[in-house]
Amino acid sequence: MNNRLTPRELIAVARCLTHFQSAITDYELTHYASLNNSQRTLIEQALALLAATAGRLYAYSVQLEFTQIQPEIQKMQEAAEGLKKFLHTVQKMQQVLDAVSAVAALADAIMSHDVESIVSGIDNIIRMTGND
Amino acid sequence: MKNTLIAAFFFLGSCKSTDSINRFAKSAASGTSELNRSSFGFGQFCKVYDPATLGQLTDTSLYAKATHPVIPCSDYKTSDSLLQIINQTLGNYFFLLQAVSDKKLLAYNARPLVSSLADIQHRLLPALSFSDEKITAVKGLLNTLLNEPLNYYRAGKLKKIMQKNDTVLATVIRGYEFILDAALQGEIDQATANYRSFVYARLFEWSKTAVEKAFVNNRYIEFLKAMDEERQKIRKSVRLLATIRKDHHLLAFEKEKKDFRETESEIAQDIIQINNLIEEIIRLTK
Repeated sequence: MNNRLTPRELIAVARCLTHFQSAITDYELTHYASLNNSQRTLIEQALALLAATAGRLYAYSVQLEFTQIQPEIQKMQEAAEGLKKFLHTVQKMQQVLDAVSAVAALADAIMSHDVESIVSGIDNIIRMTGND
Repeated sequence: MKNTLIAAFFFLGSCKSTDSINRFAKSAASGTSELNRSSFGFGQFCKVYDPATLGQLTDTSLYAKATHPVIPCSDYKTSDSLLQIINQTLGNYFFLLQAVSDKKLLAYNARPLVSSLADIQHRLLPALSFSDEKITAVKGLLNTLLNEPLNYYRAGKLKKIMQKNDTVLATVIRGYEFILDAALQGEIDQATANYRSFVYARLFEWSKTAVEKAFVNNRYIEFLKAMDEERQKIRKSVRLLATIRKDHHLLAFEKEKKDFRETESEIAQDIIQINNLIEEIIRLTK
C-alpha cells in the first residue's frame, strides 16, 4: 500500500486545517470576554500553528504536483526544441527560394552588363549562402 | 492532366492551412504570458504576513505583542519558481508553434525570378515573344506550384507535432489548472482565515470605540474584496487554460473526425473567448 499522499489529498488535509482555524477564531471572537489570558494565549498559539502548517501544505502540494508532471514538462521542453529545429528548416527553405530569385537577378544583371547590379547581386548571394 | 494537377495543388493548399494553428498559438502564447504576469503568486503571502507589513497596515504597537503565524517563505518561493517553469515551458511551446505556423515565414514570390527571366529571354531569344499576360500567368502558377506543396508539407508536419504532444500538453495544463484552482485558491482561503485570526480578531477585540471597530471592519472588507478579485482571476485563468487544452486537441485531431469548417468556427469562437479572458485578467490585475 502506498503511504504517500497525493497532491489532492494534501490539499484536502490543508483545507481541513483552514476550516479548523476558522472555527477556533469564531469561538474566540464569541467567547473572548469569558476567556482568561492563559486560555487566550493557548488559542493564539494553536491558531499560529494551524496557519503555518496549512500554508505550508498548500505550497508543498505544488512541489508534489510538479514532481508528478515533471516527465511531461521535460517532454514539452523537448517538443519546443523540435519546433525550434523545424523553424530553422523552414527558414532555410525560404532562403533557398530567395537564392533562386537572386541567381536569376544576377544572370539578368550580367546580360545587361550592369556592373553595379552584378556586384550587389553577388553580395546578395554571398550573404544568403553565408547565413546559417 | 495539367489542369488536374493544378487543381490538386489548390485543393491541398486550401485544406492544409497553417492559419488556424497560427491564430490559436498566438492567443495561447499571449494567454500564458499574461498568466505569468498577473498571477498573485505564493511568495506574496509571505509579504502579507510579514510583521513589518502588518505593522504598517494595522498601525498599532499592540500587534507586535500578539502571536503571529510563522510563514516559511522559502517553501512559497520554491512553489512560485516551479509554477514559473510550467508557465515558461507552455509559453515557449506556443511561441514556437506561432513562429513556425506564420504564413509570412514561407511565402515564395516568383515576381523577381520571372521578371529577370523575361528580361533575359528578351535579349537571348527575341523571337520568343511572351506577352505580359503570359508572364503574369507564369508568376501566379509558379507561386502556387512552389508555395502550396511547401505549405502542405509544413501544415502536415505541424499537425503531427501537435498530435504527438497533445497528451503530454494536456497533462501539463491539467497540473497547472490544479495548482491554480486548488493550491493557490487554498492559499487565498488561508490568507483570508489568517487575516481574520491574526488581524481582524485581535484588533476587533482591542478596539474600544464604535469608530475604531468600524475602521477595523472596513479594513477587513477591503481585504476580503482584494482576495475575491484574486479568486476571480484564478477562475478566469483556469477557464483560459482549459480552452487552450481543448483547442490544441481539436486542431491536432478533430479535423479528421468532424467537418473542417465546423472545427475552424469552433476554434475561432474559442480564440475570441481566450482574448476576452486575457482582457478580463488584465483588468483584474490593474
